[in-house]
Amino acid sequence: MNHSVERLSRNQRIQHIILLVSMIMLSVTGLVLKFHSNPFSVWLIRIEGGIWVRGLIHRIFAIILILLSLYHILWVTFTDKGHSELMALTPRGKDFSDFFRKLAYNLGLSGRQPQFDKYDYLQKLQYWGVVAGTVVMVMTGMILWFVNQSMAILPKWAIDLTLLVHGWDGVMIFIVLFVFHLYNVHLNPEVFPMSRTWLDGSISLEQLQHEHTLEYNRLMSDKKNEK
Amino acid sequence: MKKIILMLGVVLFCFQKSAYSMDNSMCMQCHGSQAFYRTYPDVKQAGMYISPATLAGSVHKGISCTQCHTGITGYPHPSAAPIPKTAIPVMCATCHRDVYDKYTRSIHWNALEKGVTAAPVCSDCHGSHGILKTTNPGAKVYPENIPKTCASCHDSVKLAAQYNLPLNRLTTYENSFHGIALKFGDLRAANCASCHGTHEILPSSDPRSSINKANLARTCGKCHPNATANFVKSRVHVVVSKHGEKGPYIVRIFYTWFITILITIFVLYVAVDIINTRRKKKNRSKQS
Repeated sequence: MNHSVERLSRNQRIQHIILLVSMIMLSVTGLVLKFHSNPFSVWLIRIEGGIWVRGLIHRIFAIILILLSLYHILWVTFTDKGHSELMALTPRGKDFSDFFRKLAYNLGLSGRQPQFDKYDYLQKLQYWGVVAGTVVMVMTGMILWFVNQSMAILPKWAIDLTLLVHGWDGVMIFIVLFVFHLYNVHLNPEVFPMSRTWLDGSISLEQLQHEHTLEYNRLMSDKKNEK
Repeated sequence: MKKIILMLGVVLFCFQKSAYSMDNSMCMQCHGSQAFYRTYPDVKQAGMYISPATLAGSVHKGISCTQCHTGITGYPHPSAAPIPKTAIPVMCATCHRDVYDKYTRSIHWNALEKGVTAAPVCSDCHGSHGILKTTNPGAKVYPENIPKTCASCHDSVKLAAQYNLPLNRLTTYENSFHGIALKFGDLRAANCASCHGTHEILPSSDPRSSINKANLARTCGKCHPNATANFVKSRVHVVVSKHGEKGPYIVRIFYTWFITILITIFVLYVAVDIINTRRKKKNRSKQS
């Protein structure tokens, strides 16, 4: 009997790896500018080949991220798998009540845990956080990349603000991804040292039943119906 | 005949050469000694040592001492007083007349004439005996060194208070994109002089100034051809604070709060998560 099921398809895993590589590269080449007076940044800029090469690497991975985003939009719009995943990630009223029920459970006010479908409220939040972050970063990044063209339209204060938003938003995304997300999939005592889902795409039936009970129940009833 | 003229020329040339070096070596008999000090009435003690290596490395290495120090004709020297500050530009003007004409139109010279002795003359920015080309990384006027050179006065709290100069010029520059790019060696990035000019620096209130409102678009346009009158309508040295520029201040406050709240939530989340995992493990071990 098969003890695990597919959680992420090969396509999704490749998308995820491209996303994480480009995010890491954008962070290490971008945050050094935000914290340019920090000795670690000074060292990193030297490692990255100087201020000019740093910019080039940043733009190359920006293009990779933009291409990935465009592909992702097409994927969720036009493929069955992509579309069903988008539907599974759409925030619903249940997510809000789940949050409060989980809180009540954690505080010992309620004995019952909320049951989750394929994506719980935190996973949805992370997905839409990445989407919102990418939109803001690509838009502000484009204004800064083509600064000589932007100057023809925007006043200087608007470009100053754009630079500031791009920098701070980068810091925020970095914190969310590298602290929050990495905790969930690496340091969390349930999965430590690492959840292997991002590599092999599978989740054990036990874990599925435990963490995504509604999806597990649906899967089981589908199997029964097949029989 | 031709030969004679040529010989004469060679002899004259050699004589001239040796006359110069003899002249300098004469000065160096005293000024080449590191132990040479002089006591002035108002200054306690001034070192009179001139490093031969500094002189030899400077752009003026071929020039005799007396070409600048025109008051010195022999030994002993007639005057005991050091060269007054206002005499320095006149001194340099002997050769650099065009620069002198520009400089004497500047705010720096203007201030000096009004008795502001802190205002800079040629040597304050270029140095004196060790003047180097702007392309030499050791020069005080090498692009990467310009912010530091200007900041020696314009980042001084004492001078700013004394002469009502705007402060935060250096920090605001260093945190701008131009400042960051220059710091990491991108010499194309604008330094102080790129916008404010060099010898003919004028305050923004002067209609001839490169940073006068009417001229800003052209000044920015030197590097950014699309910079319009609309673009330059904003402040340049942006001080991000409650009383400074509001927009950037609000952005900074928003993100610092947002990030602080995020981290707080995260820490609480992790704490609760760890506690619950332990509780579950205990329950599991009890069951088994």
